[in-house]
Amino acid sequence: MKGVETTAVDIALYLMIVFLLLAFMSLLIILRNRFIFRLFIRNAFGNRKRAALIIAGLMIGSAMISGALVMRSSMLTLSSNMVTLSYGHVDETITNFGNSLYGSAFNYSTFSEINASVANSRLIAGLVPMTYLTVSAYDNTTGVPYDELGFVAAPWWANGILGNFISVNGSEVTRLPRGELMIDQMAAKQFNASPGDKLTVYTGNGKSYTGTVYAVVNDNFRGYFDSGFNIFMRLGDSSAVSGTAGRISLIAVANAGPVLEAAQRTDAVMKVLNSTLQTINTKLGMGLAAYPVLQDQLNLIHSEVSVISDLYLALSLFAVAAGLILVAVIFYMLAEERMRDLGTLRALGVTRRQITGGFVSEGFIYTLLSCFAGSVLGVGIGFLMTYGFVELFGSTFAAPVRETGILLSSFTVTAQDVAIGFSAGAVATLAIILIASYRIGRFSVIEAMKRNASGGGRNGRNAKISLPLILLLISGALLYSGSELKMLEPAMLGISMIMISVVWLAVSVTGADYLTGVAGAALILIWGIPQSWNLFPGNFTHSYYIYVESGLFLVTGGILMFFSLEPLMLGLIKPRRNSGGSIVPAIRQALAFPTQKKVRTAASLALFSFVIFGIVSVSVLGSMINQAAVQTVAKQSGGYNFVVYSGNGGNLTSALTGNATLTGSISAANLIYDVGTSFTLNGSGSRPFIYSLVGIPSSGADGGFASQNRYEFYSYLPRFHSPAAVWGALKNNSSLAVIDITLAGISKGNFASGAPAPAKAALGDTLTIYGANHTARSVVVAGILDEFGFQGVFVRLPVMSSLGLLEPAFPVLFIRLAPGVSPTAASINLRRALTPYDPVVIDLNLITQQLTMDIRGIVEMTEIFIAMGLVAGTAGLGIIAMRSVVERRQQIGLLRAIGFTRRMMSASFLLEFVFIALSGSAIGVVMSLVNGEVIAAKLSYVLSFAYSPSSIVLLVVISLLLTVAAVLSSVRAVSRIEPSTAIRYIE
Amino acid sequence: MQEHAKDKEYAAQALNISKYYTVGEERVAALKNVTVNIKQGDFVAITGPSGSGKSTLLNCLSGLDRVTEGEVVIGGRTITGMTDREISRFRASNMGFVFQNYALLPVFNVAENVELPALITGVRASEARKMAMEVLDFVGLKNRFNFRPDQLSGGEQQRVAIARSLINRPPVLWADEPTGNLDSESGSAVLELFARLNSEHRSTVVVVTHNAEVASRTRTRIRLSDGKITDERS
Repeated sequence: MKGVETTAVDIALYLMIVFLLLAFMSLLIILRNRFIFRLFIRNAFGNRKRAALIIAGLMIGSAMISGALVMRSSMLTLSSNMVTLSYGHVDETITNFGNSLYGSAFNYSTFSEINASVANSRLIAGLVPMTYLTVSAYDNTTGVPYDELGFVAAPWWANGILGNFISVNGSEVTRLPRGELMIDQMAAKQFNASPGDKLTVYTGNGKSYTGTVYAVVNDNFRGYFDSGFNIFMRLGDSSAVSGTAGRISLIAVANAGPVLEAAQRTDAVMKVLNSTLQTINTKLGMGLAAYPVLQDQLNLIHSEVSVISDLYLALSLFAVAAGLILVAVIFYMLAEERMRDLGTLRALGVTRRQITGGFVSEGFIYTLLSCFAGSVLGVGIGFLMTYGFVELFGSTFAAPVRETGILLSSFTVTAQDVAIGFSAGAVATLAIILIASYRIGRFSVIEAMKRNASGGGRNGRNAKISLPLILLLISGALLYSGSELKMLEPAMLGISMIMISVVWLAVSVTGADYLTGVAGAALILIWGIPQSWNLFPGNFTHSYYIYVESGLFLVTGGILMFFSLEPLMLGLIKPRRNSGGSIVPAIRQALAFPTQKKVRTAASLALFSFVIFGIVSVSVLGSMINQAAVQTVAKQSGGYNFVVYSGNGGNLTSALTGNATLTGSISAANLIYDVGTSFTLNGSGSRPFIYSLVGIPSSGADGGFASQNRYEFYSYLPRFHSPAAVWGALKNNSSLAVIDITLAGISKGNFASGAPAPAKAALGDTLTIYGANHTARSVVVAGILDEFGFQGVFVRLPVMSSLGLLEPAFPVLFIRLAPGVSPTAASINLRRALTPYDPVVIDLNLITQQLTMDIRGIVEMTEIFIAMGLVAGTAGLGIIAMRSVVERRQQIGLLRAIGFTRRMMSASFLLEFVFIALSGSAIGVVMSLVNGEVIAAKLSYVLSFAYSPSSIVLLVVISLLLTVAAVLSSVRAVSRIEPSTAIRYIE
Repeated sequence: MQEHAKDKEYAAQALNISKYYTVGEERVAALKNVTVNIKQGDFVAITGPSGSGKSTLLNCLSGLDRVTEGEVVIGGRTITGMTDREISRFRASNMGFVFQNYALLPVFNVAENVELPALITGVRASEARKMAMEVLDFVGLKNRFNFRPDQLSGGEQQRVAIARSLINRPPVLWADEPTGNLDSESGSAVLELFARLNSEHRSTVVVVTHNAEVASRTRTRIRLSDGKITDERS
């Protein structure tokens, strides 16, 4: 994580330097033109309501950026805290022929030997011998079973190294009577257990042990070991459960120092451990290995958090774009409002540079205030988002988070986060203000003195041509660099900007405004039709930012198209002569103004469409991912509701049939056997690989899998005419096998683990299976299943038996419920019936529900985050509405004089802004659906297009309500204007 | 900057100036080969019907607008080729302006409006305030120095605008329809001020007007029609 932190510090530093440079420049301008500064500052704060709206609009960028960063820091701290909660003082683990937590049992004397050899290391606080198993248990007092528990056995003296157990009443647990058990809070909650309950623990070796719960302990560093749901016992008594007296399965290593500080010593400790273990492995012929569990988990979870926060930053770009458009709109409007004053200043001898400087100094003050407010708001947003995430994933870790107060203590605001949020917002805002101020400084004095509101620019023919030409050059450079680097983002950006600059040039030369519509249509075609991306060869790479880019250009295309479709739209909307009523002229008036002020209308549309695009895109993406996830789980389930693994063998099928609570609930219970073994592909000379061998009983009570599973085939040998024929042949033919899609090396971009395929078996290939006692058999691949949820080489059970692999295999029971049976109720009864077999029950219905809930949660959180950008949109319209009241005072007076009632004026004004908001929202919605289609087409192997109409309608309604709220005071002001004074009004 | 030593007797000269505007596809001539010589200390009225080019001529002479052809010389200096920065500085020091709509900055009070041109030319704030009070005294509004423009009548606002135009003691004062928004009494007061300026301070005053009475108070009258001078008499 050090690298990430360094990058954040660097970015903060660079942004601060750029900001300070801009601030220094602004201060110089201010000091050189103090009287101008005085004028602009008075203008800034002359209208406090407007100043507040401007600050609200400008702060969005900072708020969104710092919010995403604070959330990131808090999530990083929270995840670090969660990891340390899981492992506490355990920094490394040692297992024998296994992974970080599980391995083959080994003698206690080995621990003693390792402990003695590292005893002198000052890096290590201590080593603890442990037995760690997954077990099932049944609370005899409450009658509740649970099948995914950790069994943690350590000597009592280990408390000195790993920390003490604290009971739920807050006192230290000073002793644990021989043979008794302790459980953690989460397990106690699951069992509804309390001290004194009798708990029967089942392990994979067929043994069971019943003990008394002595205490319920806190989910602190010690009680929450791994992931909670733990049963604790003294190591000396644990053989009653594990069945391995004098042996342990794990050595926990605690580094010296406090938890997170100790984790920093991992690299050094690993060197010590590796050196020691190498000696011992050589000496004893063991496979002991050390794992930096804490460090690995920290790195893993930090990278996952970074992915989420990066996504948030990317999505916030739409709201930030809206905020920047608002900045430009605000400053152009301020210039329009003060045009006559500026003309006077110019007539009195104030230079263009001084006018620019005046606006810069005013903008500087606004920027400072708004970015400061934005950063503070961002901290609040970050906290709410962090809290929301924790609440959302409460089922995963909310219990210890709430009970240990980790959430509040994890809330982290770093100086870098606030600095980046502040500086990024300030730099972007100041940059836009500088450009806008420069453009404002170019206005014509004569036009200004005449107070011609539309006479903002003084672009001569040269400027009109030179600007698009410069853009064309930049676009060409982008296209070239994209082609050289084989990167789609700059290449597509270059193509899009070339189109815009060529059309701009054409419009400048010919004055044919309709060409902007052509540019809009071209942008929509290029970005909205997936095939057009093939303009660039397949070896061009891209990240998911390409979809952010496509969104920005699709919305831009939509806005450009809006103006070319405008006559058609107005023709349709415009009331007919015979429609009568006072609303007719009001509507005419409402629709006339947006079409006159094209730049302002385009900016207002953009404010809405970018934000709405962002929100709807998240919703569309969420719908698509949810659909894909649900479909994937359904497909991978093979039509079953539960998959039950048992480490305890036994006749699972008869355990079900003999259980009265399950009578009539189950329509299929198909048993298979699963064992890991070695294979070679097409001859013994090839490289062997380890994979699962799945034995399918072909007859008797357990023989239903072949005929009752609903797995789909990816392909099968042509001599079989149907999937049923493949399974039918497999049941009777020991030389055939069916494999899952992973072993075929076929990647469909699905939700698989991403682990590389061990081999690439094809139809007709021969797989040689190696069994016990140097036995081997060959099978031909007859079919490839289109699934990866249950991986293996499926053969008939006698093949497995003949290889001596049935004994070590563990049974897997696939259960399908009868129609109409509640999976929730059946789940409880299943667990009760199967607890003695130490089962792991996978509830596919629950997985689907959880997936849907998690996806919906993330989508809603993200939507809320982006929706904060709506503040920019509504603040923008509020400011434009306020300005319009002033600007059109004379016009309003005239309309009132010729017969407009107060109500008509209000209706007309309100309608105008609702029309803009609705059009902007429509562009955002349509373009997000187009973008969703593109994403679905590009990722068709995993996603198909889906959206939720109700959430889109809800969003549009909310945006309209916000619009009405933002313009309401202006609407009321319009109705109060007296015609007699308004007609004489000169701004 | 080109010097015209022999023309220093003139406050302002327009030498064969033309001004064209482009309206759609059409090029419209606002001024056609106009030559005007305004002597130092003269009191000039530019008259003519609406659209004759009066304001355009004033704008071109004062450097507010640029000529399409020809040359404009102010106090012996050609301003035609000046950069925006140069013309702005030159305007601040050498010209005063009075507009029909007063053009006072609403966020500033009377004294702050008046002292603005002095501050632009780099005068210290305290000195600028002193100068502002002097010219306000000259226009009879010293006691209103702390008022906002919207607290004054139209005539008073125009007198403030005149005070502002005087603060840097410019040799030339341009006024575009200065009495257009005023009643006859206020208008007379304003014209009286111009006359005093002209006679007491020897300032050159150029007034654009379509009001015959205003024109009759001046010494020289230039009449324009269709962008050409049709009559010039002293």
